[in-house]
Amino acid sequence: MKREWFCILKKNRRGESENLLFPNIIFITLNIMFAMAMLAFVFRTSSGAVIYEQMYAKQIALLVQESEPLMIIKLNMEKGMKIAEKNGVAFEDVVRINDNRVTVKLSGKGGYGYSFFNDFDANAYPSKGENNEYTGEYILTINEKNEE
Amino acid sequence: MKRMKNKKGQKLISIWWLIMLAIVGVGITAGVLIYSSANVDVREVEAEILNEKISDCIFENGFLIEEFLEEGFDFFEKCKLNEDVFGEGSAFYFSVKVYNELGELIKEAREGDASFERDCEIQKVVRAKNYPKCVKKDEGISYYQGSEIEEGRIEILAASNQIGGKISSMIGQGGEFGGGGATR
Repeated sequence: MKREWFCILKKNRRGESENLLFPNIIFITLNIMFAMAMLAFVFRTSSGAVIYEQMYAKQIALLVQESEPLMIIKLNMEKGMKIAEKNGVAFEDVVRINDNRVTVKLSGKGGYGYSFFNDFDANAYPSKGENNEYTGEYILTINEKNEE
Repeated sequence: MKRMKNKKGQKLISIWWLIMLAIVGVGITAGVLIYSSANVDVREVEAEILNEKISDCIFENGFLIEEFLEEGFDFFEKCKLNEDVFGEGSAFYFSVKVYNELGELIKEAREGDASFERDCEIQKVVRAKNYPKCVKKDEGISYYQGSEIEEGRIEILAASNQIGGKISSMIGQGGEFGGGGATR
């Protein structure tokens, strides 16, 4: 009798399956696996680079637009730093400001660009701690444009 | 495919079960992808900031600056705005209209894509997703006309239709950014 537990589809004399446990276990396991896969997909997508690239690019552009010359703005980008590290992007390459356009890159696949309308000389660089490690913050400096 | 049956003989793993999983999976995937690819719309905030910037640079101590009422007032110079960004096909627009006490238009200035003015009017009646977001401020003002203080009204309209854009390619790890990225 005990051995029947391990038989997948042991048939009786009438040819009917007598296993009570195995189909249910398989069914529940597959359902759980499916649910886990879906959850993993949702979490991966919602914490992915695409969303954060857009968010940071727009946030920085709005900060620059709202700012005045001689301002120094610190922006917490810890989440961005983690995503960039995971995707093999150096933190100092995450934010670029060129020709009135902020570009944020958190993955090797590309980046997100957003323009600002001020005629300022805006720069962005990552903040470093005492041991030369990144603190997860980006520093934005806003200055008057030097006409040459 | 072998059918698995439970105690009561119900089919547990069948083609219908797989179809149901596929429908649920496709539904969740589509929902998440639509959500994650949606744009964070900051156009209205941008229009608000632009409106404030214009207002800040043409007012001083609560009075409209005299320079603004003169010919050839340069917004780009005075308000520190980038001329290229307000060029042809711009994603930004603003207009300033000053009326005297009698309601006569005494000064009008505008920069950026002029079609936004009409689009902003349409937006009041019809909701259009791809039309620019507009912020209009209408306030009473005081200004100097020679040595006399006059009363009037100012209308500042600022609009933004900047969508931003995904940049598809980059040259090198730390190199220059390339690729597209539509402004509008």
